[in-house]
Amino acid sequence: MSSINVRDVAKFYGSQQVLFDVNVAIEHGEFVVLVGPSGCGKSTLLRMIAGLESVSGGEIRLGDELINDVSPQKRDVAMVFQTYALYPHMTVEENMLFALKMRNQSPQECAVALKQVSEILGLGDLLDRYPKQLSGGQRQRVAMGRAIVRNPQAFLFDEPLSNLDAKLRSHMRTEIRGLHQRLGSTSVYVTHDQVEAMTMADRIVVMNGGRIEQIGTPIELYDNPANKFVAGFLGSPTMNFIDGELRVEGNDAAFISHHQHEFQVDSHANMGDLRKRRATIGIRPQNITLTPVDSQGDAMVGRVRVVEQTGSETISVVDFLDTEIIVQSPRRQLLNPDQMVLVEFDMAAAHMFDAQNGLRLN
Amino acid sequence: MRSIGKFSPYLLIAPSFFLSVFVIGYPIFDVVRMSLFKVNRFGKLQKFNGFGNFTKAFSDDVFLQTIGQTAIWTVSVVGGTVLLSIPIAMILNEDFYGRSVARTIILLPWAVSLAMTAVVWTWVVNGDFGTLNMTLNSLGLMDGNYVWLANADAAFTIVILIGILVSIPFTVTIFLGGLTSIPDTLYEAAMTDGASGWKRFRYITMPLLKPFTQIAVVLNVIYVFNSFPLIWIMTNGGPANQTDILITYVYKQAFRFGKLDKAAAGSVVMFLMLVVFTILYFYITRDKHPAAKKAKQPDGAALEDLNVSKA
Repeated sequence: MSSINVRDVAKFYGSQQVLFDVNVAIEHGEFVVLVGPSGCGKSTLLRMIAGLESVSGGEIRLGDELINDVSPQKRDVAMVFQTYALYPHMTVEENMLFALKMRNQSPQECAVALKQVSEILGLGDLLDRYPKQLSGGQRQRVAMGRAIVRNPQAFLFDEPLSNLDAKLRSHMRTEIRGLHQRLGSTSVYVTHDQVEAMTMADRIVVMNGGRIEQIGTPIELYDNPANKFVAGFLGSPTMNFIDGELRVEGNDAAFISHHQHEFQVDSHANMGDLRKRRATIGIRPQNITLTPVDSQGDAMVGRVRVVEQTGSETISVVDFLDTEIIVQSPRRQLLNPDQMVLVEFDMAAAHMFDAQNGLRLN
Repeated sequence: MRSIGKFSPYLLIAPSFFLSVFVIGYPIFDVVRMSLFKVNRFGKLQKFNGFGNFTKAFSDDVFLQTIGQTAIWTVSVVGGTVLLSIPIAMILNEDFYGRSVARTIILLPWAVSLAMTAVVWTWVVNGDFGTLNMTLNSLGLMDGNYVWLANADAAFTIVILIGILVSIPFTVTIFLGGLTSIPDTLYEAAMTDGASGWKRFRYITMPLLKPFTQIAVVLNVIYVFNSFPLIWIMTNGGPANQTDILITYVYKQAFRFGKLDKAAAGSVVMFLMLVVFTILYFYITRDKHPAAKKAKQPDGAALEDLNVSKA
């Protein structure tokens, strides 16, 4: 196992730059998830660590070794591909032992490794099968077995679960996480699914447009997003945003929505001077409560549009202050469409973002 | 639709079926019949001769010699073609500047008729004013002219080389199709698994190209075994029948010496040889793991489709 150090890394395709000054230090034994919308450069970064893409600038180190120009077959990292990339003409056993064979390991060593890994992954009965005779989940497991059997310096996962159905995906999520706890291997995992990122990562790297937005543990990023992008990307349902104006006077701060509704806000050092500025308030669906009311008088009243019952909780879409907010109540709340509701924000949990650069102000 | 009943599919293919029987089946029947009868030089059947025509053919030294030459010709041309086509296809499968031009150039010989190619090459190797002699002379590699086609070994080598040249376009096309069907991620996986370039070729490219190699070998053997124009135009089987192959031998027997019965027997022998070869070849190279054949992996899907369309 080894640490991975990515320093000032850039990537160009021709004159187009797709990665800008990427810096990540992945520690020995850490499970790091690269997450972001498609096209954000997360897969490119992973493939650069694997050696499948050249490094246009900066340096990548595996342990202490600079690996910028080391060919992929000489880097001791294993990769699990989105399409599994199992060799279709080889049995499960041959697939798993391919890497060992390429490294001229003795048959005895192969047998020991094969036995151990197939036990861990429960592949014992499948060793003579061909990939096409396996289900999606089994193929996924073989692909992981192929990586584990080598006992590499690091594991790289490129959206390994995106071809599986929802149920299997959540099952494999737990399985991969459990495997990591058992093997303690340095892992880099790429996904566009924020649920995977939140549930699996020791640390998450949120990427957008070829840049890193924020790095931190899932809870840190969830509670203290550095900017509006991170806040909106993590968490499900996504955070609600309301545009308006922030006015700060001494220790008093207030947020005035476009609808002239005023929210009291705790002032914060980041809010700076006394001037007013355009800002966005961000509040998670879990931090809003709805109470049915009769009248329409109060500005804090909204109209329910859609109600989704999951059985244990209620998700409502509410027209509120000219926009649409999503509210998740942790219990069964019987609301009807078109019903008027009083909307209450838990302001202590609200975030304030600068409307210009998206940075968090509180 | 239902009212037409279960015979409707047969009804619908009936016209093409009978056309095929007429166009393909009848000539085979006719040549087999001729091979069993005495036939005069105008093609009229005389009397039943049993296997007499075959005995006559097999007691002809030239016929036996021709069988050997046909084997050399077929194995050399097909072997050379396949060995050259795989690397050519691999190069053309790489992404490089001017690839489409290179692909066109490789495919160009396909667009020229065999007869035309043969005529051109006859002039190239011509002993008196061929460009081959001229080039070798001006490079200082040779002094004076050499009549290439007058020497049996040289002539046979030359027709084999040209045979390879004209078979390459078709074969490269097959292999290009095969290579495109191998997903890049397999190579990436093999790379991270530590496979060097040669090992990726040996363990990924070769096995996955196997079905395409089979098709290329079988189709080329059939074409080359029966290939008439090159040899006929360039050497006419000469000198002294030493570049004759079965097809030119049969043609000579039929239309030069008027021995249609013997020629028919030769044709039947050729036909049986090809049938036996094809069966034997598919038996030898059959998939020992039938399961692996139709890889039903998302990656393998393209491979599978191509397999089906080629088969």
